[in-house]
Amino acid sequence: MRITAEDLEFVRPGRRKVLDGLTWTVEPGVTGLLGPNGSGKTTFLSLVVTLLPVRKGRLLLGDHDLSTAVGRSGARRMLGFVPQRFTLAGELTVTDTVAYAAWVHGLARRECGRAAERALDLVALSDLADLRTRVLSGGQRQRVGIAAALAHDPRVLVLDEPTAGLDPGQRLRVREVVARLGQDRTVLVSTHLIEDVAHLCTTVGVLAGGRIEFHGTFPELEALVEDTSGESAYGSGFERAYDRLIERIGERA
Amino acid sequence: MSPSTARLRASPLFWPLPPALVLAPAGLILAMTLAGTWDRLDWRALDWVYLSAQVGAQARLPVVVAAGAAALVAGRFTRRSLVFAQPWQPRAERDVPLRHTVVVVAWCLGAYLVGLLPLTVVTATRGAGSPDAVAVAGALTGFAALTLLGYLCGVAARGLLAVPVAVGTVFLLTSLVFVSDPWTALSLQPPFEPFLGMREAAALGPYRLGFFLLLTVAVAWTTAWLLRAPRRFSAVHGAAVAAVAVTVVLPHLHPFPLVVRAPGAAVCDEHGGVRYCVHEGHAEELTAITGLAAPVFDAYGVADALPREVRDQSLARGDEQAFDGPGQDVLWLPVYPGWDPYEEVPETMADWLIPDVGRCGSGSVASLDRGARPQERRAAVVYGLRAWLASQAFGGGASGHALFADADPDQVSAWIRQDRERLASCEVDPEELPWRT
Repeated sequence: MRITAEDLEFVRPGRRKVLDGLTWTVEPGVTGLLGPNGSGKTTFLSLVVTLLPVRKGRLLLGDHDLSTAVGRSGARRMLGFVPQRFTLAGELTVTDTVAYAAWVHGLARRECGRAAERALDLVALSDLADLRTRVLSGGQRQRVGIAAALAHDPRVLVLDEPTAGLDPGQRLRVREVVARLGQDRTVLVSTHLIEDVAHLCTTVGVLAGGRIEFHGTFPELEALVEDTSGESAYGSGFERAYDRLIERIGERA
Repeated sequence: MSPSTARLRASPLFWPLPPALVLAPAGLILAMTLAGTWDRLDWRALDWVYLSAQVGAQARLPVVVAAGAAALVAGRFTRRSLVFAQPWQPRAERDVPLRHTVVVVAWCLGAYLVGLLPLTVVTATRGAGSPDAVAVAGALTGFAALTLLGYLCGVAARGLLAVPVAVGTVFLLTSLVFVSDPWTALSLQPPFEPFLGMREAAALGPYRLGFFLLLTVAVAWTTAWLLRAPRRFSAVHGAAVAAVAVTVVLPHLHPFPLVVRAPGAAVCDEHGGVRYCVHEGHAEELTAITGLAAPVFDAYGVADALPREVRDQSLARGDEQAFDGPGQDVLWLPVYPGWDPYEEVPETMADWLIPDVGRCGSGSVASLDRGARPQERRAAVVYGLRAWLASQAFGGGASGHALFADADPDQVSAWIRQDRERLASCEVDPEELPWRT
């Protein structure tokens, strides 16, 4: 299922234009959304997951027009979203949490147990199914969050900084999970971590000044980065070059 | 059951809530209700009118617990940060609060009804009167509405702070009935305990039921609105909230009558020239009343001073009849749930026969002490006679007053006949009592 934005605008009440004529198509597979702070990434994700109303321009999730109540209602059943920061109810087990999330997303209650099992299998958490969520590590909690967003088998999965705050091992496992999910659905990942994009994303969009200023594959983005020298103890040369690129795109916008 | 379903820990009876979150308040409500009604199980004269009102009256504290539990559930399970409480999720707006409140209300209200069951069974075996279905429906709807109000507090506060807020709010709302009568139309219970021979005024029950239904709708819509994203003003929602406000104000502008008298058929007996009549629902009390009143009247001994009829207040057609004290020839006797005829019948009969102690001018002080004023000593005679008369219901003896300890009943009757005028105006000194001279 495709996400299509056409000339999308969004103005925060009493503030500047956050999105300014954004036009972009997100195809099935894993797509990374990059951009400097304040570029409108969170606003765009909020519009996609119907938290904010579409007032100007068009935003489609498949055939569902998110500017209408009917469209939003239909789209919500196709959506899974893992916010950057979320909490779990510590007294519930992993299975009960994911099953409840499946029900909240619209599944019938009798289907929720099986759906939870399937989702936990996808994120490789089946062996922790009976644990209460209060005992989980950060990476395990993140994977429970992904399983909760997946349990109803959404066609579109939106992840906001899915690996933020995780140690390298946990980050690796989350990437494996997300890459697997992208094989048969549309996954939109907002991130600051270039490594996530490099290892996960089939396509990349760079949002700056309220518009998509770059859209292409990761190798195409890499090609734009001319000078990857300057490696230091604090980061790779590519990371520095990427930062300069994002700044340059921002200035151009 | 498939293996995957078996792994779900939450029982369908509680799902999606952890059982403890529901069982703890339900258990507390059950205990509170049983504690509040247990001592009434052996009460005399229980009737359906009383029980119907008790459905609301006993709910006063349990509904506070239920509201607190609902607030806790909402505070724990609708926080925006929870992965399964995102406002865009398809069931977040309606199904989630509906499921939570159905589980909480069902368990709390169920526990409350189970707690009321023993009193209901005992009342049913007596079979006096008939249940007031509208009053019961109003009380139960009120229980549900106030529990939902607790849930709304939880949704609004999204944290544990909601619990004291909900408890305080609902406790305040259930207490307003004791502030002024107009709140009765908006409360679970009347500010007094009605019983056989009364019923709620025609408009009161339906108004209360309507108010709580409207409150339920307004609270449900407000809850859904708070959980919705993006939020938009809804004219229907605004109208429901406005309607609740109007129904709150209306009884204060035009206060309702609270109860009306509903006398039933009388069951009567006659003894010693006095007719004894009780409400048909109090027929079991008639023997005790006659058996306790007749010896008092016999001991008094002046036939023309006795009432023509002793009549159950449940037979009164208006408050003037029932509460204005002794009439010329009818003694109105209050027979109510929990009354004790062995205490109240002799006292009431004796009160009717002896003069008002206020006439003694002693400021209701009666004393035989050495320094007592003459008025106080005369008042002691009146009190002594009252106690002696009451004790005759049980054959006299030790329960009488010291002044009458050595008195022979015939002697007392003769003295009453002789000094009746002076006794009525409280002019008899203790030294004048024939058996003390």
